[in-house]
Amino acid sequence: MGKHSGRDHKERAQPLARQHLGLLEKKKDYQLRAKDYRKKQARLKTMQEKARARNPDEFYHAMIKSGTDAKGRHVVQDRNKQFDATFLKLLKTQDQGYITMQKIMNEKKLERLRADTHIPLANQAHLETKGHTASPAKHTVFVDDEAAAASFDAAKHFNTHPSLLGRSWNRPTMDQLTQGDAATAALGAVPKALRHERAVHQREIVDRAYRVDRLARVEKEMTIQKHLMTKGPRKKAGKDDQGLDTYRWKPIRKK
Amino acid sequence: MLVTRNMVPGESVYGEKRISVETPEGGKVEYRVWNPFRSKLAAGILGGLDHIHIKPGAKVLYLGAASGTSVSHVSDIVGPEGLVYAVEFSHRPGRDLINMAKKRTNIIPIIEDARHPSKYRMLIGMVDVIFADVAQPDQARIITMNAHMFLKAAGHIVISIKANCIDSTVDAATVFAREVKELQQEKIKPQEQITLEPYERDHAIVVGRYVPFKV
Repeated sequence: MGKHSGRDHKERAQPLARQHLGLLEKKKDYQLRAKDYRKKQARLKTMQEKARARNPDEFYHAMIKSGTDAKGRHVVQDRNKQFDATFLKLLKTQDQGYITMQKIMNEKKLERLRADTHIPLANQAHLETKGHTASPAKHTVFVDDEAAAASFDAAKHFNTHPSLLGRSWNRPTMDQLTQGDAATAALGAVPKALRHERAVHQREIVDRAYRVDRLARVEKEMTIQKHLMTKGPRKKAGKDDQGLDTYRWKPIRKK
Repeated sequence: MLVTRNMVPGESVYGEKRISVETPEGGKVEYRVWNPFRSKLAAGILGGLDHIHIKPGAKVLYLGAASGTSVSHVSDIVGPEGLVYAVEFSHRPGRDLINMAKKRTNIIPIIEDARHPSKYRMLIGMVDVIFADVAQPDQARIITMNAHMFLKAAGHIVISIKANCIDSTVDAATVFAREVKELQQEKIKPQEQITLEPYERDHAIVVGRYVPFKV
Protein backbone atom coordinates (compact mmCIF):
# COMPACT_ATOMS: atom_id res chain seq x y z
CA MET A 1 0.00 0.00 0.00
CA GLY A 2 1.17 3.55 -0.68
CA LYS A 3 1.81 6.40 1.75
CA HIS A 4 -1.11 8.38 0.46
CA SER A 5 -3.97 6.76 2.03
CA GLY A 6 -6.03 9.95 2.14
CA ARG A 7 -8.18 11.28 -0.64
CA ASP A 8 -6.92 12.18 -4.12
CA HIS A 9 -6.39 15.89 -4.96
CA LYS A 10 -7.74 16.57 -8.45
CA GLU A 11 -6.11 19.27 -10.58
CA ARG A 12 -8.20 22.42 -10.85
CA ALA A 13 -9.68 22.97 -14.30
CA GLN A 14 -10.68 26.17 -16.10
CA PRO A 15 -14.12 27.24 -14.94
CA LEU A 16 -16.77 26.87 -17.58
CA ALA A 17 -17.35 30.61 -17.71
CA ARG A 18 -13.68 31.24 -18.62
CA GLN A 19 -13.36 28.37 -21.09
CA HIS A 20 -13.02 30.80 -23.98
CA LEU A 21 -9.56 31.75 -22.59
CA GLY A 22 -8.19 28.23 -23.15
CA LEU A 23 -6.66 25.90 -20.58
CA LEU A 24 -6.16 27.21 -17.06
CA GLU A 25 -2.59 28.45 -16.65
CA LYS A 26 -0.53 26.86 -13.87
CA LYS A 27 2.69 28.10 -12.29
CA LYS A 28 4.78 25.85 -14.55
CA ASP A 29 3.14 27.39 -17.60
CA TYR A 30 3.59 30.89 -16.28
CA GLN A 31 7.31 30.29 -15.72
CA LEU A 32 7.82 29.13 -19.32
CA ARG A 33 5.86 32.07 -20.67
CA ALA A 34 7.75 34.58 -18.57
CA LYS A 35 11.13 33.12 -19.47
CA ASP A 36 10.31 33.30 -23.19
CA TYR A 37 9.06 36.86 -22.82
CA ARG A 38 12.24 37.94 -21.06
CA LYS A 39 14.40 36.28 -23.68
CA LYS A 40 12.62 38.06 -26.49
CA GLN A 41 12.81 41.37 -24.68
CA ALA A 42 16.53 40.92 -24.15
CA ARG A 43 16.98 40.13 -27.83
CA LEU A 44 14.99 43.16 -28.90
CA LYS A 45 17.08 45.24 -26.58
CA THR A 46 20.38 44.05 -28.11
CA MET A 47 19.02 44.68 -31.60
CA GLN A 48 17.95 48.19 -30.64
CA GLU A 49 21.34 48.70 -29.07
CA LYS A 50 23.08 47.54 -32.25
CA ALA A 51 20.86 49.72 -34.43
CA ARG A 52 21.68 52.72 -32.27
CA ALA A 53 25.41 52.03 -32.42
CA ARG A 54 25.38 51.31 -36.20
CA ASN A 55 27.92 53.12 -38.35
CA PRO A 56 25.91 54.43 -41.32
CA ASP A 57 29.05 54.41 -43.54
CA GLU A 58 29.91 50.77 -42.97
CA PHE A 59 29.50 48.23 -45.83
CA TYR A 60 28.38 44.65 -45.47
CA HIS A 61 28.25 42.15 -48.37
CA ALA A 62 24.86 41.03 -47.16
CA MET A 63 23.58 44.44 -48.22
CA ILE A 64 23.95 43.48 -51.85
CA LYS A 65 23.74 39.70 -51.62
CA SER A 66 20.52 39.41 -49.72
CA GLY A 67 17.08 40.69 -50.46
CA THR A 68 13.46 39.69 -50.33
CA ASP A 69 11.60 37.48 -52.74
CA ALA A 70 8.16 38.11 -54.25
CA LYS A 71 6.42 37.07 -51.03
CA GLY A 72 8.57 39.32 -48.92
CA ARG A 73 10.70 36.54 -47.46
CA HIS A 74 14.34 37.20 -46.72
CA VAL A 75 16.67 35.28 -49.07
CA VAL A 76 20.41 35.14 -49.55
CA GLN A 77 21.07 35.28 -53.24
CA ASP A 78 24.61 33.86 -53.33
CA ARG A 79 23.77 30.55 -54.90
CA ASN A 80 27.39 29.42 -55.23
CA LYS A 81 27.46 28.97 -51.49
CA GLN A 82 25.01 26.09 -51.84
CA PHE A 83 27.85 23.67 -52.64
CA ASP A 84 31.42 23.78 -51.55
CA ALA A 85 34.29 23.89 -54.04
CA THR A 86 35.31 20.22 -53.72
CA PHE A 87 31.78 19.06 -54.41
CA LEU A 88 31.53 21.33 -57.44
CA LYS A 89 34.86 20.02 -58.69
CA LEU A 90 33.59 16.47 -58.39
CA LEU A 91 30.45 17.34 -60.34
CA LYS A 92 32.49 18.95 -63.07
CA THR A 93 34.94 16.07 -63.41
CA GLN A 94 32.05 13.63 -63.66
CA ASP A 95 30.60 15.70 -66.50
CA GLN A 96 33.98 15.78 -68.16
CA GLY A 97 34.23 12.02 -67.92
CA TYR A 98 30.96 11.72 -69.78
CA ILE A 99 32.05 14.18 -72.46
CA THR A 100 35.33 12.32 -72.93
CA MET A 101 33.48 9.01 -73.20
CA GLN A 102 31.13 10.42 -75.84
CA LYS A 103 34.04 11.88 -77.76
CA ILE A 104 35.94 8.60 -77.83
CA MET A 105 32.77 6.74 -78.83
CA ASN A 106 32.17 9.11 -81.73
CA GLU A 107 35.81 8.97 -82.79
CA LYS A 108 35.68 5.18 -82.92
CA LYS A 109 32.49 5.23 -85.01
CA LEU A 110 33.96 7.86 -87.32
CA GLU A 111 37.09 5.78 -87.78
CA ARG A 112 34.99 2.73 -88.68
CA LEU A 113 32.83 4.69 -91.12
CA ARG A 114 35.84 6.21 -92.79
CA ALA A 115 37.46 2.82 -93.16
CA ASP A 116 34.47 1.74 -95.25
CA THR A 117 33.70 4.92 -97.14
CA HIS A 118 36.77 6.03 -99.00
CA ILE A 119 35.33 8.21 -101.66
CA PRO A 120 33.67 11.33 -100.35
CA LEU A 121 30.89 12.88 -102.37
CA ALA A 122 30.97 16.52 -103.22
CA ASN A 123 28.32 17.38 -100.69
CA GLN A 124 29.55 20.88 -100.17
CA ALA A 125 26.20 22.25 -98.96
CA HIS A 126 26.05 19.89 -96.02
CA LEU A 127 29.65 20.68 -95.11
CA GLU A 128 29.00 24.41 -95.13
CA THR A 129 26.02 24.12 -92.81
CA LYS A 130 28.28 22.34 -90.38
CA GLY A 131 30.66 25.26 -90.29
CA HIS A 132 33.44 23.50 -92.14
CA THR A 133 35.56 25.47 -94.51
CA ALA A 134 36.70 22.45 -96.46
CA SER A 135 38.25 23.75 -99.60
CA PRO A 136 38.19 21.27 -102.47
CA ALA A 137 41.43 19.50 -103.28
CA LYS A 138 43.60 21.25 -105.83
CA HIS A 139 45.51 19.44 -108.53
CA THR A 140 48.43 21.32 -110.07
CA VAL A 141 50.33 20.12 -113.10
CA PHE A 142 53.77 21.63 -113.74
CA VAL A 143 54.79 22.21 -117.34
CA ASP A 144 58.05 23.41 -118.92
CA ASP A 145 57.23 26.93 -120.10
CA GLU A 146 54.45 29.42 -120.70
CA ALA A 147 53.78 28.18 -124.21
CA ALA A 148 53.17 24.68 -122.85
CA ALA A 149 50.92 26.15 -120.16
CA ALA A 150 48.88 28.03 -122.78
CA SER A 151 48.39 24.95 -124.95
CA PHE A 152 47.77 22.61 -122.00
CA ASP A 153 45.09 20.04 -122.65
CA ALA A 154 44.06 18.24 -119.48
CA ALA A 155 42.38 15.32 -121.23
CA LYS A 156 45.49 14.72 -123.32
CA HIS A 157 47.81 15.06 -120.34
CA PHE A 158 45.89 12.58 -118.22
CA ASN A 159 45.33 10.36 -121.27
CA THR A 160 41.61 10.08 -120.66
CA HIS A 161 38.26 11.05 -122.07
CA PRO A 162 37.35 14.75 -121.55
CA SER A 163 34.06 13.76 -119.92
CA LEU A 164 35.97 11.94 -117.17
CA LEU A 165 38.15 14.89 -116.16
CA GLY A 166 35.85 15.80 -113.28
CA ARG A 167 36.68 12.48 -111.63
CA SER A 168 39.63 12.15 -109.36
CA TRP A 169 39.15 8.42 -108.84
CA ASN A 170 38.34 5.58 -111.21
CA ARG A 171 39.49 7.56 -114.22
CA PRO A 172 40.35 5.04 -116.94
CA THR A 173 43.00 5.86 -119.53
CA MET A 174 42.27 6.01 -123.26
CA ASP A 175 43.86 2.55 -123.77
CA GLN A 176 41.57 1.02 -121.18
CA LEU A 177 38.57 2.72 -122.74
CA THR A 178 39.35 1.54 -126.27
CA GLN A 179 39.94 -2.01 -125.07
CA GLY A 180 36.33 -2.02 -123.95
CA ASP A 181 36.87 -4.37 -121.06
CA ALA A 182 35.45 -4.11 -117.56
CA ALA A 183 36.95 -0.65 -117.22
CA THR A 184 34.26 0.78 -119.45
CA ALA A 185 31.75 -0.24 -116.83
CA ALA A 186 33.27 2.51 -114.77
CA LEU A 187 31.94 4.98 -117.32
CA GLY A 188 28.33 4.15 -116.56
CA ALA A 189 26.31 6.02 -113.99
CA VAL A 190 26.45 4.87 -110.39
CA PRO A 191 23.25 2.95 -109.47
CA LYS A 192 20.74 5.02 -107.54
CA ALA A 193 20.66 2.75 -104.48
CA LEU A 194 24.43 2.84 -104.20
CA ARG A 195 24.45 6.59 -104.62
CA HIS A 196 21.89 6.93 -101.86
CA GLU A 197 23.84 4.65 -99.53
CA ARG A 198 27.00 6.62 -100.15
CA ALA A 199 25.23 9.90 -99.46
CA VAL A 200 23.88 8.59 -96.16
CA HIS A 201 27.33 7.39 -95.11
CA GLN A 202 28.86 10.64 -96.16
CA ARG A 203 26.36 12.67 -94.18
CA GLU A 204 26.97 10.58 -91.09
CA ILE A 205 30.73 11.05 -91.46
CA VAL A 206 30.35 14.81 -91.68
CA ASP A 207 27.98 14.91 -88.71
CA ARG A 208 30.17 12.72 -86.56
CA ALA A 209 33.29 14.66 -87.46
CA TYR A 210 31.49 17.83 -86.46
CA ARG A 211 30.34 16.26 -83.18
CA VAL A 212 33.84 15.05 -82.33
CA ASP A 213 35.12 18.53 -83.04
CA ARG A 214 32.56 20.16 -80.72
CA LEU A 215 33.06 17.59 -77.97
CA ALA A 216 36.82 18.10 -78.10
CA ARG A 217 36.22 21.80 -77.64
CA VAL A 218 33.91 21.32 -74.68
CA GLU A 219 36.36 18.88 -73.13
CA LYS A 220 39.14 21.39 -73.45
CA GLU A 221 37.06 24.15 -71.96
CA MET A 222 36.17 21.92 -69.01
CA THR A 223 39.83 21.19 -68.41
CA ILE A 224 40.53 24.91 -68.37
CA GLN A 225 37.67 25.44 -65.90
CA LYS A 226 39.05 22.70 -63.67
CA HIS A 227 42.46 24.29 -63.67
CA LEU A 228 40.93 27.66 -62.90
CA MET A 229 39.45 26.18 -59.73
CA THR A 230 42.93 25.66 -58.32
CA LYS A 231 44.81 28.27 -56.33
CA GLY A 232 47.68 30.40 -57.51
CA PRO A 233 48.12 33.57 -59.50
CA ARG A 234 47.28 33.16 -63.16
CA LYS A 235 46.92 35.43 -66.13
CA LYS A 236 45.12 35.23 -69.45
CA ALA A 237 47.70 34.34 -72.07
CA GLY A 238 45.63 34.77 -75.22
CA LYS A 239 43.43 32.53 -77.28
CA ASP A 240 44.10 29.14 -78.79
CA ASP A 241 43.21 27.96 -82.30
CA GLN A 242 39.68 27.09 -81.19
CA GLY A 243 39.08 30.57 -79.79
CA LEU A 244 39.26 29.48 -76.13
CA ASP A 245 41.05 31.58 -73.55
CA THR A 246 44.39 30.20 -72.44
CA TYR A 247 45.91 30.95 -69.05
CA ARG A 248 49.39 30.98 -67.68
CA TRP A 249 50.06 30.19 -64.04
CA LYS A 250 52.84 31.89 -62.18
CA PRO A 251 55.42 29.24 -61.36
CA ILE A 252 55.54 28.69 -57.61
CA ARG A 253 58.42 26.88 -56.02
CA LYS A 254 57.21 23.82 -54.18
CA LYS A 255 59.21 23.04 -51.06
CA MET B 1 37.06 1.60 -102.07
CA LEU B 2 40.80 1.36 -102.57
CA VAL B 3 42.40 -2.05 -102.14
CA THR B 4 45.75 -3.70 -102.83
CA ARG B 5 46.25 -7.34 -103.65
CA ASN B 6 47.50 -9.01 -100.50
CA MET B 7 50.94 -10.53 -100.96
CA VAL B 8 50.53 -12.60 -97.79
CA PRO B 9 46.94 -13.94 -98.03
CA GLY B 10 45.20 -14.52 -94.74
CA GLU B 11 47.02 -11.83 -92.80
CA SER B 12 46.15 -8.27 -91.91
CA VAL B 13 49.01 -5.94 -91.02
CA TYR B 14 47.26 -3.33 -88.87
CA GLY B 15 43.75 -4.70 -88.47
CA GLU B 16 42.52 -3.58 -91.89
CA LYS B 17 39.71 -5.45 -93.61
CA ARG B 18 40.44 -8.15 -96.16
CA ILE B 19 38.27 -9.04 -99.13
CA SER B 20 38.50 -12.41 -100.81
CA VAL B 21 37.44 -12.73 -104.45
CA GLU B 22 37.06 -15.88 -106.52
CA THR B 23 38.79 -15.79 -109.86
CA PRO B 24 37.23 -17.31 -113.00
CA GLU B 25 39.94 -20.00 -112.88
CA GLY B 26 38.63 -21.13 -109.51
CA GLY B 27 41.45 -19.71 -107.39
CA LYS B 28 41.08 -17.08 -104.71
CA VAL B 29 42.60 -13.63 -104.60
CA GLU B 30 42.70 -11.60 -101.44
CA TYR B 31 42.70 -7.83 -101.27
CA ARG B 32 43.44 -5.53 -98.34
CA VAL B 33 41.52 -2.30 -97.87
CA TRP B 34 43.74 0.78 -98.01
CA ASN B 35 42.27 3.59 -95.94
CA PRO B 36 43.00 7.06 -97.38
CA PHE B 37 42.30 8.64 -94.01
CA ARG B 38 45.30 6.79 -92.61
CA SER B 39 47.67 6.82 -95.56
CA LYS B 40 48.71 9.94 -97.45
CA LEU B 41 49.71 7.95 -100.49
CA ALA B 42 46.23 6.39 -100.63
CA ALA B 43 44.71 9.86 -100.22
CA GLY B 44 46.85 11.07 -103.14
CA ILE B 45 45.72 8.18 -105.33
CA LEU B 46 42.04 8.81 -104.61
CA GLY B 47 42.66 12.54 -105.00
CA GLY B 48 43.55 11.86 -108.62
CA LEU B 49 47.34 11.70 -108.94
CA ASP B 50 48.21 10.89 -112.54
CA HIS B 51 51.15 8.60 -111.71
CA ILE B 52 52.57 7.44 -108.43
CA HIS B 53 55.32 5.58 -110.33
CA ILE B 54 55.14 2.79 -107.76
CA LYS B 55 54.31 -0.23 -109.89
CA PRO B 56 54.90 -3.98 -109.97
CA GLY B 57 58.60 -4.72 -110.04
CA ALA B 58 59.66 -1.21 -108.99
CA LYS B 59 62.37 -0.57 -106.42
CA VAL B 60 61.17 1.97 -103.91
CA LEU B 61 62.99 3.87 -101.18
CA TYR B 62 60.41 4.74 -98.56
CA LEU B 63 61.55 7.46 -96.12
CA GLY B 64 59.53 7.86 -92.94
CA ALA B 65 58.10 4.34 -92.91
CA ALA B 66 56.70 4.59 -89.35
CA SER B 67 55.01 1.31 -88.32
CA GLY B 68 54.84 0.20 -91.92
CA THR B 69 51.11 0.40 -92.54
CA SER B 70 51.45 2.22 -95.86
CA VAL B 71 54.69 0.37 -96.57
CA SER B 72 52.77 -2.91 -96.54
CA HIS B 73 50.49 -1.63 -99.30
CA VAL B 74 53.46 -0.39 -101.31
CA SER B 75 54.95 -3.85 -100.88
CA ASP B 76 51.67 -5.31 -102.21
CA ILE B 77 51.93 -3.09 -105.28
CA VAL B 78 55.57 -3.75 -106.18
CA GLY B 79 55.03 -7.46 -105.60
CA PRO B 80 57.67 -10.16 -105.24
CA GLU B 81 59.68 -8.76 -108.18
CA GLY B 82 60.02 -5.33 -106.59
CA LEU B 83 61.74 -4.10 -103.46
CA VAL B 84 60.88 -1.59 -100.75
CA TYR B 85 63.63 -0.09 -98.63
CA ALA B 86 61.77 1.26 -95.61
CA VAL B 87 63.72 3.81 -93.56
CA GLU B 88 62.47 4.81 -90.12
CA PHE B 89 64.43 6.54 -87.36
CA SER B 90 62.27 5.90 -84.27
CA HIS B 91 62.79 2.56 -82.61
CA ARG B 92 59.27 1.96 -81.37
CA PRO B 93 57.47 2.12 -84.75
CA GLY B 94 60.61 0.57 -86.22
CA ARG B 95 59.94 -2.57 -84.19
CA ASP B 96 56.51 -2.97 -85.81
CA LEU B 97 58.10 -2.32 -89.18
CA ILE B 98 60.65 -5.09 -88.67
CA ASN B 99 57.95 -7.53 -87.53
CA MET B 100 55.90 -6.74 -90.61
CA ALA B 101 58.94 -7.17 -92.88
CA LYS B 102 59.42 -10.71 -91.52
CA LYS B 103 56.30 -11.78 -93.40
CA ARG B 104 57.01 -9.72 -96.51
CA THR B 105 60.25 -10.60 -98.13
CA ASN B 106 60.28 -7.63 -100.49
CA ILE B 107 60.68 -5.13 -97.65
CA ILE B 108 64.09 -4.24 -96.27
CA PRO B 109 63.59 -2.34 -93.00
CA ILE B 110 66.30 0.15 -92.07
CA ILE B 111 66.23 1.78 -88.64
CA GLU B 112 68.41 4.80 -89.34
CA ASP B 113 68.21 8.58 -89.64
CA ALA B 114 67.34 9.54 -93.22
CA ARG B 115 69.48 12.67 -92.71
CA HIS B 116 72.56 10.48 -92.94
CA PRO B 117 72.05 8.33 -96.04
CA SER B 118 75.71 7.31 -96.03
CA LYS B 119 75.01 5.24 -92.90
CA TYR B 120 72.80 2.85 -94.84
CA ARG B 121 74.31 3.17 -98.32
CA MET B 122 75.68 -0.37 -98.23
CA LEU B 123 72.14 -1.76 -97.85
CA ILE B 124 70.56 0.00 -100.79
CA GLY B 125 71.00 -0.29 -104.51
CA MET B 126 69.71 2.22 -107.07
CA VAL B 127 65.97 2.79 -106.80
CA ASP B 128 63.27 3.82 -109.29
CA VAL B 129 61.15 5.86 -106.88
CA ILE B 130 61.64 7.64 -103.58
CA PHE B 131 58.54 8.11 -101.48
CA ALA B 132 58.99 10.41 -98.50
CA ASP B 133 56.69 11.18 -95.63
CA VAL B 134 59.18 12.57 -93.13
CA ALA B 135 57.40 15.72 -91.89
CA GLN B 136 60.59 17.56 -90.97
CA PRO B 137 61.39 21.24 -91.56
CA ASP B 138 64.42 20.24 -93.62
CA GLN B 139 62.63 17.49 -95.52
CA ALA B 140 63.55 18.85 -98.97
CA ARG B 141 67.22 18.52 -98.03
CA ILE B 142 66.71 15.02 -96.65
CA ILE B 143 64.95 13.89 -99.81
CA THR B 144 67.38 15.43 -102.29
CA MET B 145 70.36 13.98 -100.40
CA ASN B 146 68.82 10.54 -100.68
CA ALA B 147 67.94 11.16 -104.32
CA HIS B 148 71.54 12.11 -105.17
CA MET B 149 72.78 8.90 -103.53
CA PHE B 150 70.20 6.30 -104.52
CA LEU B 151 67.80 7.53 -107.20
CA LYS B 152 68.57 6.57 -110.75
CA ALA B 153 68.57 9.22 -113.47
CA ALA B 154 65.01 10.02 -114.61
CA GLY B 155 63.68 8.27 -111.49
CA HIS B 156 60.80 9.79 -109.59
CA ILE B 157 60.14 11.20 -106.18
CA VAL B 158 56.75 11.27 -104.51
CA ILE B 159 56.73 13.36 -101.36
CA SER B 160 54.08 14.19 -98.85
CA ILE B 161 54.26 17.68 -97.36
CA LYS B 162 52.59 18.68 -94.12
CA ALA B 163 52.51 22.48 -94.15
CA ASN B 164 52.39 22.78 -90.36
CA CYS B 165 55.59 20.80 -89.88
CA ILE B 166 57.60 23.06 -92.14
CA ASP B 167 56.33 26.53 -91.35
CA SER B 168 53.17 27.11 -89.35
CA THR B 169 53.28 30.90 -89.70
CA VAL B 170 52.43 31.15 -93.39
CA ASP B 171 49.58 29.60 -95.34
CA ALA B 172 49.85 26.10 -96.74
CA ALA B 173 50.01 27.07 -100.43
CA THR B 174 53.09 29.23 -99.77
CA VAL B 175 54.82 26.38 -97.97
CA PHE B 176 54.11 23.99 -100.85
CA ALA B 177 55.44 26.51 -103.38
CA ARG B 178 58.63 26.98 -101.34
CA GLU B 179 59.22 23.25 -101.09
CA VAL B 180 58.73 22.83 -104.83
CA LYS B 181 61.25 25.59 -105.45
CA GLU B 182 63.76 23.93 -103.14
CA LEU B 183 63.35 20.65 -105.00
CA GLN B 184 63.85 22.41 -108.33
CA GLN B 185 67.19 23.78 -107.14
CA GLU B 186 68.26 20.21 -106.43
CA LYS B 187 67.66 18.88 -109.95
CA ILE B 188 64.18 17.62 -109.32
CA LYS B 189 61.65 18.66 -111.91
CA PRO B 190 58.19 18.91 -110.40
CA GLN B 191 55.44 17.22 -112.39
CA GLU B 192 52.28 17.49 -110.38
CA GLN B 193 51.05 18.54 -106.98
CA ILE B 194 47.81 17.65 -105.25
CA THR B 195 46.32 18.76 -101.96
CA LEU B 196 44.83 16.02 -99.83
CA GLU B 197 41.43 17.44 -98.90
CA PRO B 198 39.16 16.04 -97.57
CA TYR B 199 41.39 13.32 -96.15
CA GLU B 200 43.99 15.59 -94.57
CA ARG B 201 44.08 19.31 -93.91
CA ASP B 202 46.98 21.39 -95.29
CA HIS B 203 48.78 18.42 -96.78
CA ALA B 204 50.03 17.99 -100.31
CA ILE B 205 51.71 15.35 -102.39
CA VAL B 206 54.27 16.47 -104.93
CA VAL B 207 55.49 14.21 -107.70
CA GLY B 208 58.77 15.06 -109.42
CA ARG B 209 61.30 13.63 -111.79
CA TYR B 210 65.00 13.47 -111.02
CA VAL B 211 67.02 14.99 -113.85
CA PRO B 212 70.65 15.05 -112.67
CA PHE B 213 72.06 16.08 -116.07
CA LYS B 214 70.85 17.38 -119.42
CA VAL B 215 70.49 14.72 -122.09
